[in-house]
This record gives sequence, C-alpha cells and structure tokens, in this order.
Amino acid sequence: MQRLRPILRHLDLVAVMPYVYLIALALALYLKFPALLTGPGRLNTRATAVFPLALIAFSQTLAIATRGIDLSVGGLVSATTALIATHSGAKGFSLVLLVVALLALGLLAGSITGLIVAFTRLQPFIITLAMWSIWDGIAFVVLPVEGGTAPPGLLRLLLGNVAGIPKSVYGVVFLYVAWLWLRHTRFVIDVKAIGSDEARARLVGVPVAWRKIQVYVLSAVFAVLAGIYVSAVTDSGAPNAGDQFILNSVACVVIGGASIYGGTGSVASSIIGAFVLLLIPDLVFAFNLSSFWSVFFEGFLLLVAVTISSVVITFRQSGAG
Amino acid sequence: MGETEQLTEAEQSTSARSPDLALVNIHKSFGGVRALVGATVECYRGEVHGCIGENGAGKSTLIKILSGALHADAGEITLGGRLLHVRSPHDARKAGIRTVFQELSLIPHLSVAQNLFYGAEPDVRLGRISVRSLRAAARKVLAEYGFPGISPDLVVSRLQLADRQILEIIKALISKPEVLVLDEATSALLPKQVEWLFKTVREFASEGGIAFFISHRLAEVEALCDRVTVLRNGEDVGHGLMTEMPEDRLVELMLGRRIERLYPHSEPAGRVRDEVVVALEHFGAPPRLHDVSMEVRRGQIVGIGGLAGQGQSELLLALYGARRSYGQMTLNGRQVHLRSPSQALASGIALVPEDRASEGLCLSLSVRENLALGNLHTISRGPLISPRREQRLVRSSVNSLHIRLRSPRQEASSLSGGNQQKVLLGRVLASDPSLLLLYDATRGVDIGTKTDIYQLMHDQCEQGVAILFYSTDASELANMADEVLVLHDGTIRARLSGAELTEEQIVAAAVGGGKQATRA
Repeated sequence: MQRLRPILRHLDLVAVMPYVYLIALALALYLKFPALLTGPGRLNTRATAVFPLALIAFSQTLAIATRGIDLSVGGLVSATTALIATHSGAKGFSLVLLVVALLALGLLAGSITGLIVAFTRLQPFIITLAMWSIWDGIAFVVLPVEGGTAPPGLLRLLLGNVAGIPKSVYGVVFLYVAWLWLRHTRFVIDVKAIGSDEARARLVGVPVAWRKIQVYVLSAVFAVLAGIYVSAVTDSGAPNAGDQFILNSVACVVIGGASIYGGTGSVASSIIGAFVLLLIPDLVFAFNLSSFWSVFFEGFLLLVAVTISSVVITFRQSGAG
Repeated sequence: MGETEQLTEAEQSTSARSPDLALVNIHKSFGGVRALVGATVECYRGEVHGCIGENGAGKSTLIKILSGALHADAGEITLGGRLLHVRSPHDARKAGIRTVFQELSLIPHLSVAQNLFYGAEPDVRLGRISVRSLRAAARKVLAEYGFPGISPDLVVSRLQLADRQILEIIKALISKPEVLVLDEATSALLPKQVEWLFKTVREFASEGGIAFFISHRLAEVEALCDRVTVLRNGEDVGHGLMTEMPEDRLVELMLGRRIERLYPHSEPAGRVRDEVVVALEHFGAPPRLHDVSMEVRRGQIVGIGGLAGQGQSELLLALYGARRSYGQMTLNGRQVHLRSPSQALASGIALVPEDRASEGLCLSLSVRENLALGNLHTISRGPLISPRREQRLVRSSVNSLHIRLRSPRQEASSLSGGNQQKVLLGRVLASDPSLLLLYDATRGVDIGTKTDIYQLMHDQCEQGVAILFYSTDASELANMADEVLVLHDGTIRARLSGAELTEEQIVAAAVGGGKQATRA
C-alpha cells in the first residue's frame, strides 16, 4: 500500500476512469461481436449518434460545474426539429435565414433561463424544468405528430464524408480539442469557482451573474445546434426528439467523472462518457438481450461510475487530511 | 496645572500627522442589533495597528465594512486623506485594501496557483491563461515567501488548514496592497508560521504599508503591533501606542471590568475521582495515530499537545467513532469498538470538532435547530418533537453559556465566532456526556468567551465528566489540564503532570527536547 500511494497520488483516477470504461466496454463488444464495432459504416453510425449528445454534454458539463443543471435542452431540441420540419418547404425559403432564426431563438431561450438563474434564488433544476415544458409545448403546438422533412441543403451540409471520414467524427474531435484549449480560459475557471463555492467566488471577484447567463445561453445554443443536426440525421421532425438528451447528457457528465455538486468537470471526459453510454445498446444487442435491457444497463453503468467516483474521493480525503 | 506627560518622539510625530487610514464614527445595525455605534480607528503608514475586543464587540463587522462586504449605515472611511466609497469587495480591492478573512476565501476546487493569481494571472491571451507561466509565477512567489514545498498545482481543498491560511496571506501580499487587513490570521498557524507571519507583516509595514491586525490572542497583538485600538460593544473605548498599554489595562478595556485571572482555579485532588471513564491500550487510527496508551478518569482534564498533524485529530475523531481505529478501547469498564458517532453519542461521548463552520454547526439553520440537533431523542415524544422540551433545552443552553443573540430563531451564521462555539458547546453538553472531547475549542474565540469556556470545563468536571482536550495553545494546556500528553508521530512522546506541567515543557516536548515518556 505504501508503494502504491505515490503512484495513486499522481494518477488522477477520476480523469482516467472514463477511458477505462471506454476501453473495457469496447473490448467486450469487440470480443463478442466485432462487426458492431468495426463493421462497415459503424463508425459513421456511432459518430452520428455521439455528436449531438456530445454537443449537449458539452454545455451540460459547464452547467453542472456551476452547481446547476439544464433540463430545458430537451425542449429546445424538440422545438428546433419541429420548426425545421414545418418550415423547410415554405415559399421563399432560405436555409441560412432559418438557421440564423433558430440560433437567435436559442440565444433568447438561454438568456431568459440565464437571467432567471442569475438573479433569483430559484434552483436551476426547477427553472430549467419549467423551460423544458415550455419548449416542449411549443414543439407540440408546431408539430403535433412526427413528420415533415429536413431541407436538402441541410442534409448536404451536415451529412456525408470529408476526405473519407464522416463529418460527425470531425465534429466530435473538434469539440474534444476545443475543450483542451478552453479549459484554461477564465470562463471555465470562473464556472468551476462558482460551483465550488459561489460566495467565495463572488468575494474574489468572479462575475457570477454574467457567467451563469453565459453558461445557459451556451447550453441553449448548443441544444439548437444539436436539434439542427438531429433534424438532418432523421430527415424529419418530432415533438419529443429532445427528451432522450436530457438525462443522457447528465449521464455523460457523471460517467465523465464530474461531481453533481459542481466545481469539477471535463468536457473531454463527458464526450468519452457519450461514447461509453452509446456502446451499451450495441452490447445489449451483441449479448442477444432484448433491447429493453439497454436502459437497465445504462442505469447500472451510471451506478458503477458514481460509486467509483465517490470511493476515490473518500480514499483521497482520508489520505490527505 | 498638574503633571503633563511628555509625549514620546513617536507620539509627537504621529499625533502631528493625520491618520493615513481612518474609519470615523462608523455605525452599523443588523435589524435590531447595533453592531457598531460610532467606532473610530486611526491607523498610520509604517505601523502595525492591532484591534482587540470581546465577542461581538464589532471587530468582524468593522473589517467587513472596510473590505466592502458590508455597507456602513453611517460614518466615513478615508485613505491617504481621500474619502473612500467602498460598496463592494471590488471597490475595496481597487482602493488597495486586501483582507485575509477568518473564514478563508480560497476556492476549494481550484489549484494553489489559480487561487493565488485569480484576476491577475501573468499571461492571458484571448481570455486563456497560460498554465506554464501561471505555475512558474506561483512557484516563484511561494519560494520568495519561504514556502517552496507547496505544489502550485495542488487543489486547495487538499491542503492542511494551516497551509491554506498561509496561502491566503501570501495571496493578499502579492498584489502589493496599501492596506493589509488580517482577521484572526494566526488562528490555524503553527508557532513557526506565526513567526513568519509577524516577520512578513512587519516588512510590509516598514515598506510603507498599513497593517491592520485583529486577533483574540493578546500575546500576539502585544508582540506584533505598534498601536492598538480596543473595541467594546460597538465603539472604541481606548487606543494608543502598544508601549503604553499594559496587558491588564487592555483586558480591562475589553471587558469593561477587571478579571482576576484568565484561568479558573481548581484543585484537581478535589474533583478527580478514581473511576476510569476511558482507557486506551495500543490504540491507533490511520493514517497518523499509531500507538497510544492512556486513560482519563471522571472529573479529570487530560490535555493533548504537540505540533499539528501528529495524530491528535485521529485520536479525537476515533474516540468519537468518526474514524476507523484499532487497538483496545475500554469505556466505563467495558471494552468497546466504536464504529460511528451515533454509537459514541449513545455511549456518552461527545465531541466539539475542529471546524465549527463546516463540521460542527449547520450555519444555515437557526440557533434553536442547531441546539436541538443531536439531542432529538431527549426532546421528542415518540416521532414528534415536543416544542416545550425543545424550548427548555434552548433556554437552558443560552442562559448557562451566556450566548449573546437576538432570538433563538436567528441563523447560526449570523452569530460571532465565539457565540457560534458556545452554541456548539450547548448542543454537545445537552446530551449529558460522560466523556467530553474538545478539539481546539477556543480557536478564534475571544478572551471573554474563553474564560467562560474554561469555567464551563471545570463545572463539568465537578459533575464528574471526563474531559480530553486538544489545544494548540501551550499556555492553555499548562493551566487547564491535570495531565498533558504530547504526541509526536502518532505516539506519546511525553507525559507531563504536576511540577513538570509547564508551558515550556509542553513546547519543548512538541518540538523534540524536554522530558521523554518512559513508557510507550
């Protein structure tokens, strides 16, 4: 134990765990049903599924780092796909105009949420829960039933390959690399400070209200972007397209090792968490189980991840004193 | 005409000058409580100005007003002759005021380097901070101030309390402030670190800074400060050069009355019984307590001394069931192995923990709720709390401990440090323990409350309670304990009692010299 301690002290277990899960699950899948991992088109399918989740997990990581959470992302994704589906065939249609309008909507939505979070003592959980309902409601009003199509221009832009590699892979890699640069910005440091101890952060000069607004605006804009992407991928709109992203994005953040109490978080780890989470349906299929077991195992994985995280933290605390 | 005192040279020069920092006639009330009623403090450049006062005298409030964390209701602050409008911590920083608070302001999840340089990082491009230059700058600063051992990348929550306090002080100094305010800055420091602080603060003052030092430790104020102001009940009741204010005069000003002695007199022979309450045989608790054998009898006060981190924390926490332990523990004759604090409480052991803010009290709850917590079984009838019993508990605690508050309904966070400690004691004592564990119970507590706590300890002992207390104050140990065990490296290095129980012996044993224990 004494020999292990210096190694353990330098090894950031929490940062390493998501990669351990990834390798473990990928290996299991490879051994059981290799085609699902490395078969033709599998990378494309996987990256296509991961990219929108990674986008939302990106901003969710930041929201959770401030000791908040954004549940409204689901509603915004749904509303976005609904609006695209019902407006793509309109007369005088312009893709650019549509996208700009949607982003403006995201900006507005995020600002509203951000202002309420920043200037009232209401819990982000409650506020974003309400916003989720509002945006989901708008989605249903606009598009009561799944249907419609996505503009062909959008499909051309977002789908397909560049230099033989799916565009979604570029997207995911871009988000991962962007984080490596962003994590040392004042913005991210402030976000962590707010989650760590908001009162002290304020005392030290962190612009708390402004950062909170920025976080929720980012969250809303990323949700809209994810919605646009989902629209293209499914070539349709659905009023409940966004629901799966809410808890899944939180799951990614947790598997990534962040604490739900704030102060920590790594988007890179959350993105790995997205890959890990989306391996589970494949594993369920590979082991010949009914697809309904997916949800069970996703929950089970979450339990394992949280348990390991807290064991590591307890171990660290009893050592350091 | 009478006698006219000759002014000393120093006095002549400064009384001719107008003060460089003056807080004049400051008033501040919180609801119905008048915290400051026209307090005036005048400080001069090049001097270390000490501010002392009893529990609730207004020192913390004054500091918070100076630091921009609170607004004064009336009064003005001038710095260098200019009137200051300090409406926020930001304004205070801009004016060149840096404060080291009693409750630290380091952000737990950020690193040492990030905390040190927040807002003033050396290399920032496009909003992105260069990690390498930040680390290098932190390393340079830490070495410069004499602490090359602290790693700049270490997350602050993993530092010991003393190191965190040092970091807080360095952080305030590196921005080269005009005014350095220290609120109970020494409370968590080891003697050597206190020396470092004094040296650093004196350097700061001699380079033209204004140092404002608040401490309950009179000895420190006397050692460090050139000038002192005494606060009592929200106003200044005396001020002057340190050389002209003898200790008993200061104490008298602080309390408004003379106190005969700080430590109550008590004959151990009268109150110590033969019955052993707790006995430990080769007792240990990871990671730092290895092998301790000792016993505490009814009515006895056993003190634990030694430098910080030698196992004292593990000892007290393990006795309270809050830490894993090994070895033999006998409680009232029966062998026990405590696995949880609730088990300890049920067995009659109570603990007053190290950090009252995070480990002892629930600051966002009311005083009433804090007192009731941990005593719910005595004030409940079945599943419901009996309001009458709760009220009786609260009233008796507040009265017997002289807790100063507006109402039991007020939030515990609104009480001063000393009063908070009393609430914690009240809760702990209400459970009627047979063994009372005190972890540095008088840290950050003023002299009046300290006396109350010492008297309380003796009263409890008269009633047959056994007390085991850890203190970083050697004088406190020497005067209060019947026997002192000095810990080093997880074992007892010295057992002092009787004639050998002196402050010097305790300190000597703690640092390595002095009488060594003859049995393990």
